[in-house]
Amino acid sequence: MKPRAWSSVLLLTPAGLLLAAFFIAPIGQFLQQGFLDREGGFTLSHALRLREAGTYADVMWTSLTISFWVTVFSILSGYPAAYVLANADRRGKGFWALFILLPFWSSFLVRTFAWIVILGRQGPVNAALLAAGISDRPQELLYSWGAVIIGMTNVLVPFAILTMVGVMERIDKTLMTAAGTLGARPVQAFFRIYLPLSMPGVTAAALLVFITALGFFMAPALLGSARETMITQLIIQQVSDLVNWHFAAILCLLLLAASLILFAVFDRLVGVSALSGTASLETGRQARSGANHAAYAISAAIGDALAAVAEMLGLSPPRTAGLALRTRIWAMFVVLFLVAPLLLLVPVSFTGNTYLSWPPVNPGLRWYSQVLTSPAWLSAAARSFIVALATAAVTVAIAVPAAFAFLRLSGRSASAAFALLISPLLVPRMVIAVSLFYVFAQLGLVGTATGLVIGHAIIALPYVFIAVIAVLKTYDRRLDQAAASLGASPLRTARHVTLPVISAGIISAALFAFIISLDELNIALFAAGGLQSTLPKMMWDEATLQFSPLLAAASTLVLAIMSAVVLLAARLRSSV
Amino acid sequence: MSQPKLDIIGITKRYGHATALEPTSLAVEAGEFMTLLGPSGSGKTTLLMMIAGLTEPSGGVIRLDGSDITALPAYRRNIGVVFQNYALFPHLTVAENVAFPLRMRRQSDDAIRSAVARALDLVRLPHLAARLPRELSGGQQQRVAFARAIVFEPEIVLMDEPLGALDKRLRDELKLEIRRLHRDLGTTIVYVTHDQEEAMLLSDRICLMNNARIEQLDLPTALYERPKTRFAAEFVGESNILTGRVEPAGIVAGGLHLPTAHLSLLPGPGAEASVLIRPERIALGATGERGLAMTGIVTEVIGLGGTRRLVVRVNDAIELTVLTFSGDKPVAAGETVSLTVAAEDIVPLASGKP
Ligand SMILES: Nc1ncnc2c1ncn2[C@@H]1O[C@H](COP(=O)(O)OP(=O)(O)O)[C@@H](O)[C@H]1O
Ligand SMILES: [Mg+2]
Repeated sequence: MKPRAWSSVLLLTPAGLLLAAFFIAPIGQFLQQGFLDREGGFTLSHALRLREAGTYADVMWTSLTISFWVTVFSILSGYPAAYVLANADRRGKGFWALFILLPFWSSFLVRTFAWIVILGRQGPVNAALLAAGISDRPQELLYSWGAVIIGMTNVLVPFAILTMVGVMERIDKTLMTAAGTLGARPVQAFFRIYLPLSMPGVTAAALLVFITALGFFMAPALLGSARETMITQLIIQQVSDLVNWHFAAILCLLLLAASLILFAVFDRLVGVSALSGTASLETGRQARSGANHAAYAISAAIGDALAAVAEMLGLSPPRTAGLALRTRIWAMFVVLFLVAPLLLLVPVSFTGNTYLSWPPVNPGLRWYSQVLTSPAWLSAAARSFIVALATAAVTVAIAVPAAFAFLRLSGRSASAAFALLISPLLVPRMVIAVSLFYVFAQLGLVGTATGLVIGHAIIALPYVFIAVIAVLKTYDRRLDQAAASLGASPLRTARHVTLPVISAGIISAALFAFIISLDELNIALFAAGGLQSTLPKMMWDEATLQFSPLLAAASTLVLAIMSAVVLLAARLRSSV
Repeated sequence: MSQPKLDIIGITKRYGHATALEPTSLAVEAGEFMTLLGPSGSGKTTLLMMIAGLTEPSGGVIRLDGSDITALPAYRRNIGVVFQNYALFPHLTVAENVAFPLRMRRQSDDAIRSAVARALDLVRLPHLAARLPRELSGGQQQRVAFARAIVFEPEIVLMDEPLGALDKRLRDELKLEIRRLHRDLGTTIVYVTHDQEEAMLLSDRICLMNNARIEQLDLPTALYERPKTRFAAEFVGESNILTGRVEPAGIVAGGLHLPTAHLSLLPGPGAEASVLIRPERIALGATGERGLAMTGIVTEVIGLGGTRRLVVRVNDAIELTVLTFSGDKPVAAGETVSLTVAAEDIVPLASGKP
């Protein structure tokens, strides 16, 4: 091997070791349990339990249908918002990005809580229904299929938007203009040109949303009834209530298999690179495959039909290109849907009452003083902060060298390195969490700060890796060459030239790792409560009992902190 | 006179306080090759995009064959556009790209197939019909873009710096190709470029633009030989510009009397005025023609392959650039030479400093 190749291997080693020891090995070891009996011999008895009357097949089916509908709604509502974000001018872009990124990075848990308030008997929706005379007493909107779908969609739309924006931003705007000069009505140009070109983004977004939704448990547990039980809830039940590792492993395997099959299908149809936003728009010959051809023909036909209708009605669209008003209005509704839960949760926390109500009454800071003086909350917060800081440091220390190495590689070794680093994204978090719990139990790491940092680092690594690659790609390599020509060794070049230039981008990536850790519930879920608790775990334990104004206050504080961190990160990023 | 194909009347475009195009009028005849030539930012693209219907004018009227199309959306105008980056649809093959405008016009499959084949033959790419755009070279993409812009027999074809992204050799080749296509098809073309050579080679008329207005609209030869302003003289070709005081038969500059055959273009005697002398219109040696005869010292000789450029100092006050052929008698720096310019080739320029 050439020295360059060796140094790439060296740079990838920390990431490789972390993933091998705490991601691949634990998952392998844990899933194996699904096929072992008490004495360690091979058995299919656990797997065969899946055939047991009703339950498991039903739960899997529920999980798939809920995920499907969440995906559909996320794409439909996210597409126009992504379109607006991708096509806005500079100033508009900053505005839209802020309102899409802020919800994206704010706590999953808190956003799910918000719907308990919004859809609750004393919530604003019921208040509005009563006021409008549509119903005469509060309706039970919570604990239903609809509530679960709304809660999950709300959390996942930003994922869909950001994935689609990545592809849309690379669509050449003159293509639509050109279609116009060739005689296409705007609606035809959209269905014949824009939609097909944005399709890789749509499918990538659908995949990400679907896989993430499949592993959800917070929304169905807090917003759904028993009928909306999803597979991850069963896994939690097997682990923490029944302590049945073997069957838990089988359920994890089922969940993982479903995710990986979806991923494999996606890779065949579209290609993985669309996920990272690094792909060229169409992926070679695949773009011309039969399925795509058929899809294109359908899309074109829809466009032509709509154009014919518009022609008949004598509709005349605006003459010049630019964002149509109705697209912007739709995007505005989506943004409202994203931001509303956060805005509605805040006021209910400022009450002196012991119950939630809308509109908020008896204003006061009672619950804030309670949170801020509670030793349990304070110690959980302290622990979460320490773990988040450590996670950010560890993740960046591992991801930065790995990203440098990745950008030097090409062809197969580059794909392999990329696949390895983003692999934790493809495994449902609960599968990672349970596997680590299983292994940590043997190592005595359960509930320790070290254990949490390791788990959080595994989960944050792909995000930070992708963010660092994006930063490094904007870096002008000629600066390094200039430094070398001026006599700087590679190490001194890195220290005095490269790192100072990219530092703002790296810090912003670290802040994102910080936020991911601060909001991570899965890893901490199985640890004991009390002094070992983290902030999300405290909130979760509270919420499963009852959603109180105390929790609203704690959530508001968490939101405020996270928003501050996100804004700081965004500032740093835009200053790169 | 017959009605122009394209009649632009007082069209203008403002962005806030900035004016991208002052009110401008321009008539393009049927079958004419009209070039908008000018430096970057002079408003060429703005004018072209308003003709195409892709930019909304702040005022003015555009007529196509006599009918007002100012309010017509782009897709109804029947005007072909070749974009600078070609804007080929990346997910469609070459044939599908060329077929696109015909599909939009709901032509039958048979008609489309034969029209596409004809268009691809015309640009000499029939063998690449099944390729995707990104599998083509830059020059091939350019030809496809052209085929797509003419296949639906548009009233006019607009081209915005279509050769801008290509290297010099390919540009030279495609220039000739575009010229041939224009001759063969007889289409009306409005072409944008900042390259004066391109404009000279291709155009029936050149519309020289500067500072958001038309500087001069003329035949290529007229623009070169009789530029009206200093800007026009300097933008098109090489120039010697001498400034002096007007006398009855010409001007006096740097102690030289410069007689011009274009007396009507000069202001009254005593005023300040500039004249243009093209470097290749200065002859070495005495020719006996009526005009300017002088002697000077050669200060520099620059070989340019086929031609040779001399810098000659006359009367210690004037430096003239002289262009001669390499085959002419060799000249060395330091030599004294005599120069002659015909009065016909001393062209007064309208006042106005750069
Ligand atoms: N969308 C726009 N907004 C503001 N100013 C513009 C816009 N488009 C063009 N301009 C300005 O109009 C002037 C003419 O531009 P353009 O027509 O593109 O020139 P050219 O094509 O000759 O280079 C320039 O000063 C440019 O900055
Ligand atoms: Mg231009």
